[in-house]
Amino acid sequence: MAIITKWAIDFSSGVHVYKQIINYIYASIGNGELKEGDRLPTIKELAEQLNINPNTIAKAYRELELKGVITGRRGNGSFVSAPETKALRMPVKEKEARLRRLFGRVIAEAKSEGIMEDELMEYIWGRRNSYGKI
Amino acid sequence: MGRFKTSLELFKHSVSVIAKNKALLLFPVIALIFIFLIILFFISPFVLSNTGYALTTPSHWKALGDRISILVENKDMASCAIGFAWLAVIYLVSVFSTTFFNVAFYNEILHALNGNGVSIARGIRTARLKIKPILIWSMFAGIVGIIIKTLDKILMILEDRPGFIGQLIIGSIGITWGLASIFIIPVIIREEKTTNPLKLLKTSAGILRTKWGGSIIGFIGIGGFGFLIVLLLSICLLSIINAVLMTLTAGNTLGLIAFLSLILINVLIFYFIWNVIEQIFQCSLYIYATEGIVPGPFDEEMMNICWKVKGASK
Repeated sequence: MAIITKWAIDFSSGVHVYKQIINYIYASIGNGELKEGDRLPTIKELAEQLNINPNTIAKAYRELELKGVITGRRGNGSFVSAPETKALRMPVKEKEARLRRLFGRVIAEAKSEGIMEDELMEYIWGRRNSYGKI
Repeated sequence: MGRFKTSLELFKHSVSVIAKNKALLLFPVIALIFIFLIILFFISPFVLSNTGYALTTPSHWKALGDRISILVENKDMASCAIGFAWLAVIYLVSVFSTTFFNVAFYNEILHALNGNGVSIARGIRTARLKIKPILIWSMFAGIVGIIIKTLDKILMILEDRPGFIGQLIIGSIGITWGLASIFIIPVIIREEKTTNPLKLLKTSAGILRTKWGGSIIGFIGIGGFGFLIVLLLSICLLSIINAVLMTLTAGNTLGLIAFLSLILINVLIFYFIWNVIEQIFQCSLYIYATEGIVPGPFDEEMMNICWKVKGASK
């Protein structure tokens, strides 16, 4: 699967690998690399390619299934689901409103951890510069 | 589940990983043989030098000892400096070899925990690909080791004996170093961006802090309970063997020698297997901390009982 070759797992980022996989799948759906009905690599394929534990992939897929982003079909693998794909391509205004709410939550949580907004932004930009994507 | 039971389960599950991947036991053996050969290579010019006696006679070894004593007593600084440099090279080469084989070993433990087979060739290949960070890390770790030992000696001289404060300082440095570098081998295997030993150490310490927080003050590992159980089982087994031997060689000192030899072999094998088990467990902790899942046959409780926490009773 072509998209996997672009995935660079960072074991020292402090973000669990299963969450990084979830983020990669979200990003791939968001930028159109993965479309509704596309088949995701199997757990075994992905675990071998990324050299990680199969349970890690299974956990990522499970969470995505629970959120309705992908659907597992027994014996056939996992596929990008229709409703969530549409949700990811929501109208700009709605997306902006959601982003505002999400950003507010992130800032509030960061402050509760003693992290200032500037520091958070600096970190986000640093990661973006390091990896091209967050 | 109580601490004792969890510890025992942990031990059993680690053994099950070895049972499924018996080749894992070969890595420490290969490393041991290799390091032995390396040390032999370095000391052979001195050991095999001509003393006028046959190599197998005690006089040869006494003559070698006398040579060292003469050098030290005469304060032959040049020869002593060469001798120390030579010992330092042996030490650093041993640290490098240990790290190299540990990288190969841990790489295969990670594969075993991921459900893949174990391959000695693949492990060695991975270590060869990581030769640069291994080399730099080994030099760094070796020098840190020398500094800690030197500091220990200085404190002993200052206090005129192994004093409480000196022991406390050295102990704290040792524990901090041990904790910070606990994930260093898997970090060397998986870290692609740097070979800087300080950054590698920071990454290893960061993984520990992110997952378990800053209150960790020590690593217990699988714990003493499992160890105790296996030791008791070993003693029981040895007692049975002893009884059989004593019956067979009643009144003979040969029986006692055989029994003592068996104890020694048993302790060595036990220590060796225990070491492998501890390393499997440390790899599981690394996977748990970085990937966010509990690998193989372990469970979450097992991943959290192995730490000494600030303020905890144990």
